[in-house]
Amino acid sequence: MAKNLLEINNLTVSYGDFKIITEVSFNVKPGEIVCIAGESGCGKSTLIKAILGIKQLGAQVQEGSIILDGRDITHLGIEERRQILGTEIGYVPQNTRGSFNNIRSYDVQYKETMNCHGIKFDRGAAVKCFDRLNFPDSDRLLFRQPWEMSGGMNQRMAIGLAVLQEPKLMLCDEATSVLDVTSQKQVIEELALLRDELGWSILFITHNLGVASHIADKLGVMYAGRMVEYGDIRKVLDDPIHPYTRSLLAAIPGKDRKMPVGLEGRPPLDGAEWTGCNFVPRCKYCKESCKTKPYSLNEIEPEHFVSCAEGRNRK
Amino acid sequence: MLKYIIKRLINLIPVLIVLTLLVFLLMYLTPGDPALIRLSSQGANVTDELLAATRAEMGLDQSFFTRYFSWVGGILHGDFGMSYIDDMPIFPKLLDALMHTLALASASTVVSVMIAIPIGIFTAVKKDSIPDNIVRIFTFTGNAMPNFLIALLLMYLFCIRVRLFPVIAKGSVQGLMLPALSLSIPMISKFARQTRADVLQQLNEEYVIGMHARGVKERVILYKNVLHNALGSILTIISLQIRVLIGGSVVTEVIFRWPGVGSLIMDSIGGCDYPTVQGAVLILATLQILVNLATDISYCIIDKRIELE
Amino acid sequence: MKKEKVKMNKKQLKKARLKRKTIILGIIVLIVLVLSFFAPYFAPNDPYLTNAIAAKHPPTSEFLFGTDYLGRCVFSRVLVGARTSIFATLMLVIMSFIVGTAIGIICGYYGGAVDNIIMRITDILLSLPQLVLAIAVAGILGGSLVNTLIAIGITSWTSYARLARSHTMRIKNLPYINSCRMTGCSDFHILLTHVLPNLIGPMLVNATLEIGSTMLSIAGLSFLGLGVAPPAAEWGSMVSEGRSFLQIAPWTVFAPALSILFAVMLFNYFGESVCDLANSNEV
Repeated sequence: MAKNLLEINNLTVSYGDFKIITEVSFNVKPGEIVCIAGESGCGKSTLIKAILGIKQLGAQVQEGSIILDGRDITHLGIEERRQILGTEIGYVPQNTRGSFNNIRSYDVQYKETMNCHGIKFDRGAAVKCFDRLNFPDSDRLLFRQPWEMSGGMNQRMAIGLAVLQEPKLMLCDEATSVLDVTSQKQVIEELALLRDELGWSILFITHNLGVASHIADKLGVMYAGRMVEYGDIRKVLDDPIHPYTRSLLAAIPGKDRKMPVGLEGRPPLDGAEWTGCNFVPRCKYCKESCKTKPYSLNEIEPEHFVSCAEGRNRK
Repeated sequence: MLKYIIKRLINLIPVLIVLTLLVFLLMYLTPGDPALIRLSSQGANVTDELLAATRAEMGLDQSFFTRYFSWVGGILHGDFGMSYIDDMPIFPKLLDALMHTLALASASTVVSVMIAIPIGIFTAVKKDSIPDNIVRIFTFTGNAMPNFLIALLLMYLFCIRVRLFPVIAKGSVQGLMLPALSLSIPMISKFARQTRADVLQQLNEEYVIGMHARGVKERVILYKNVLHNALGSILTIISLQIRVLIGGSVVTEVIFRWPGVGSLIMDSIGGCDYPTVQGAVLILATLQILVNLATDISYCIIDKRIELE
Repeated sequence: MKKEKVKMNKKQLKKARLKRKTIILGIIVLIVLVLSFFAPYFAPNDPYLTNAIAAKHPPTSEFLFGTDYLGRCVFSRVLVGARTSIFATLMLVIMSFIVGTAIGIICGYYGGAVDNIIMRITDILLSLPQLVLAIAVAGILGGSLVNTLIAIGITSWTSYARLARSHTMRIKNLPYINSCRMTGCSDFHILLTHVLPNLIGPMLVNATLEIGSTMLSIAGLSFLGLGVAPPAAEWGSMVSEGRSFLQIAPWTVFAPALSILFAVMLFNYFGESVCDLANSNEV
């Protein structure tokens, strides 16, 4: 089995004193696409922020470690971190226009970014790279400014720059959520292509299980700051075990025009602070003992971890 | 870009027409008989015949528009008319004064920009630190200072207490320092506040995070991106301040006896030499309009979106 | 969530603090206004009484800020001058506010050719050096307080007009104004009961922000001798009178000049906190 590219061990992250994620652990292997899904506010973006570790984002790692390619990057200094960002960890943010300076051309911004890592910027190589990713109008793209372009195109320019920087791990934070369906498809296809051709690992954060099922190898489901189910995507989607995963899948509108079954209530705001299962208030399988049992993620079958098996017992 | 500049130049025409009309109207509506004022300020023995002859010579018997057009026509040829006091052409005097005012204005603008922008960036990056708070108190005070207070304070400190500079500037380089400094202080306050606010706003933009995430150096983010984007509104405040600067320069020039357009205006008002006042106001207003134009064009170079509006 | 709740409380706390600050500043402004209005009644000495023997006397317990070149009590003159300086400023701000707002509302509401012409005029007036124009006007009209106000007023209404116009244009396109029109309300009624109350808030905020700079303009003009005629006490002209004696009697210059500084600082600080408060209400 290949060595893990990214290891997240028992990670606890907070904003100030307030915990957002508790005891999250998972691994990303080279060439693997891992999706993390969950409702908004469950801490999936915080996970990305913790991995990036930029101090302006405010996410502070309290416990646990983040190991990239055998190197502990949990508490890197500012300059050391800057050197690995971009070249080892790539990032495509949610806001499509936000990641570039709106009123400067891509040409200067690409060049500037590459120069900061001591890489020479080669316009021809960039255009070649655009061609490979099937960007339209590839030879003129560099001379345009972000405000002139559509959201989808800007997102793809961010991917294009990431390709030129050749990171080992790509972090995508809801990278497709604000795009229309066509652009979404293009971006996802590009990411899959990069994985196949360059052997990238991608950590993909989304609330859209449909997108996840398209490209992911592994799927993690987060609920109120905890990982409740994690494993091979087919196993998780075909045989969901945790009660929350089951309700998530039941809430997807089907082709048969059946009304999806929604989940009553809201996730607890301080879910990450609970020591026991934090799904208890909304769980229809909840037993008295659930309220006191401490949280733990157990391997129920090979490549399939889950924190609660009550659902399966009552199938 | 060229299209935008041409558009802006065409827009200048009505502005200049209204400006000249306004300045001319100012003179036209002046109480008193210009011929009488002219003759008495030259100390001539006023007789009815002389008065009538002067009136005819000055074209006072003609209609408003005839006089307006001949005045504007003269200006286009560099002829601003004759001074009431010494019957000399106004233009050379005006040109000399304008050079002095330009020297003063550009010296103080350059000094202010060079001091204020680094202060603004520094205080934005170190927001709410002790230096930031100290600078804030200074800029707040500087903002509220009347021009003459700064000028007189500087004069009191450096010319009377410590005899570092001459009291009267007389147009020398050494004499330029104090007037330029006294004009700079309120400008530094305004620019530094504006720069701080703009840089802070830019630092909160998402692209800053995006660049950090790509490993772009802090220095590059700050100077090539944040400052670049903030420059537009900094330029706007500079051009707005030129308006205040030109007004303030009158006060400062009078205090330091700097022989600029402001001094010329005040002397001419004192001597009832209205054609000179007219020419001087016209020159200063035109200067202001040109500064505005230059600002708009450079704004457009920084942010191409402006061109489309 | 919980974090947001904490943040919210912080925001509310900040707002409450801002509100308290604004109210305290407002009370101080009010006190200054009342004091300056009644200044002549508690000035320690007659501000116009000349005394050749006690001329250019440094500050003593009898003459708190010393005496000027004619032996007049500078402290009393500063007190009496406050009334002229502050009320002239307020008058000018209020007049430009009324005129500018009225023009702006009408332009914004009716649009068309008149709007076009007036807006071009404001464009042009805004691109001219205000103080130079005022100096020329005041210089030619002759120095007096009224002429000074006219000279500055020529350009000062424009910023109000532009602001009122843009607010009116925004408000008149709101759906409820259309509903009003459909129920047969007259234009006058709509302007008075719907447009005006909606824009008066931001307009007043802008007006408080303008007090400081207006005061500086008036002081500048009267310093140049284009404001109040000499015997009357007014801060700008007092500085102008004292200027020749800067070397021997600096207090005659700095007492009124610092009064202007402190008054402008007070009004600017008040204006800024009103502005901050208004902005925090919007969010």
